[in-house]
Amino acid sequence: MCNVGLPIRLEGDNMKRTPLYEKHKLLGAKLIEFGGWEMPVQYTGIIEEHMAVRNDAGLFDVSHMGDIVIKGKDAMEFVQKVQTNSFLKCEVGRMKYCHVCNEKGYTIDDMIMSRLGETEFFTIPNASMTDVIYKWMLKVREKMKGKEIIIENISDKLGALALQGPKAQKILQKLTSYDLSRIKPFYFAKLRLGKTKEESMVSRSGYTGEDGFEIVSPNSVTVELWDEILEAGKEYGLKPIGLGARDTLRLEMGYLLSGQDFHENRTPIEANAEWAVKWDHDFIGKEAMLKQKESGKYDRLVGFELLDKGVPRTHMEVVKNGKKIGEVTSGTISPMLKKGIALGYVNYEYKEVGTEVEIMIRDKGVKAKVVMPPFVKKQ
Amino acid sequence: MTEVRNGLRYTKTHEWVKVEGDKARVGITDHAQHELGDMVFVELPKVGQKVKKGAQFAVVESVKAASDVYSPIDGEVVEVNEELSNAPETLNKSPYDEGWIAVLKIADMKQIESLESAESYRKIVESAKH
Repeated sequence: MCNVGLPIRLEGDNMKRTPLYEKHKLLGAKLIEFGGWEMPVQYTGIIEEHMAVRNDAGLFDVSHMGDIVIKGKDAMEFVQKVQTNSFLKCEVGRMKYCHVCNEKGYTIDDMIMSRLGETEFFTIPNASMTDVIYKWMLKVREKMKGKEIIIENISDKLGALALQGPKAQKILQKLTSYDLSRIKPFYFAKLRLGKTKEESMVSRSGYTGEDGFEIVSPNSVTVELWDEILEAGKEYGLKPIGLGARDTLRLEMGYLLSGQDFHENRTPIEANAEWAVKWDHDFIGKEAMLKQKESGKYDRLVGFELLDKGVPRTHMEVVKNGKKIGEVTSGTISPMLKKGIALGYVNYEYKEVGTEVEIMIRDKGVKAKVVMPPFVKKQ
Repeated sequence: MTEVRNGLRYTKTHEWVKVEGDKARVGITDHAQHELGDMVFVELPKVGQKVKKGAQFAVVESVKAASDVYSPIDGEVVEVNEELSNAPETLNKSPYDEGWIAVLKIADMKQIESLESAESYRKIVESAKH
């Protein structure tokens, strides 16, 4: 096996590190390169960590993700233009999932956008896309001459944690007197947690399909909270979770991974994310998307469940009657279902749930069927 | 620390070989399973299949990646560990015992001598860590 260890331990000089890098090393994490960052892929094992999040709770360092503030008198007008969702009726303290697209309608990145105030927004692009999105936003702003729009990339100042799993609320409640059940899904509150001296933005959100919180704070607070939350979670079976399990968890829910399930080559319509597109306002890419919708003849992102043994992986071909009809963009063995699951795009004629296809794994067709994610249904 | 078991022969590509008369039992090392992580799929060779030294004869897949397993010697597959198909995690739990992959009929005994000893393989593993 020549590639043993290759994806692991790439301690390069150019990789960025989160404020928690030393903590990860102390915990014995395996580190990998991800989006230009040196990040933990696992601490004890991907499957063990995956199950900890499904059954108890897990703590993720997501400080590699970006932080961009958009504010000023005309911030709302800018936000409405730059992304697909609508914030006109979004109250302060709420957040929405959205896509930022180019004129062709192709998604540059997906993200959650929060409304911090009447004229202030905050968004968290994916790690490798932060600079791209920041520059894109500046470019969009240039075309809005005379408007008051301030865009700040404060990614270097902020860290972020995700506390996910059925026991997440019980654990975090130990660090605050604020009744966390008041934070509904896709809402946030600014709280001073535990012994920390500064406020964190605590939202009920995540990338696992479980209940849980994302906690954005200044870097130094993130470091303090990492230890405090791990300590508070001991009695609940809380574990630190790496990117490996983060990927299998999101995949079981059918959540998209930026740069893999799309990379400026798919519209939200193709990517099964039309629910995050609101047609009642003008936004970049709208015209192209409407045209595509009208034609009806576009590829669709679907889920695949393998009917035989095998592990679907990125770029594998999807075949029907010997003809290529699509490609896998993300795949794994589901730790919950113990079978191969994947996301990928197929020609629109094959998008119907139940369609039998084959996924080409090492030149062999392995039977699979089209399903509608999530693969793992939560009660 | 990962185990390098004395008495076995090794390849630089992290397979182990246990000589049993004119046959060789083959698997992947503790270091290999540790680096690859949770195993979820094994593609076994077929009994009767001829294998060449250095050529791929099995595939093991962890959650994160698929890895080829290379035959340490020339020979013929006489037995495969079917148990691994249902329980690929055995490769993680017991890489040198229950986690064996196949038994090969040795074509050329001299090839055994050219494999790494436990001592030299230990050095390979050590250097990979620095």
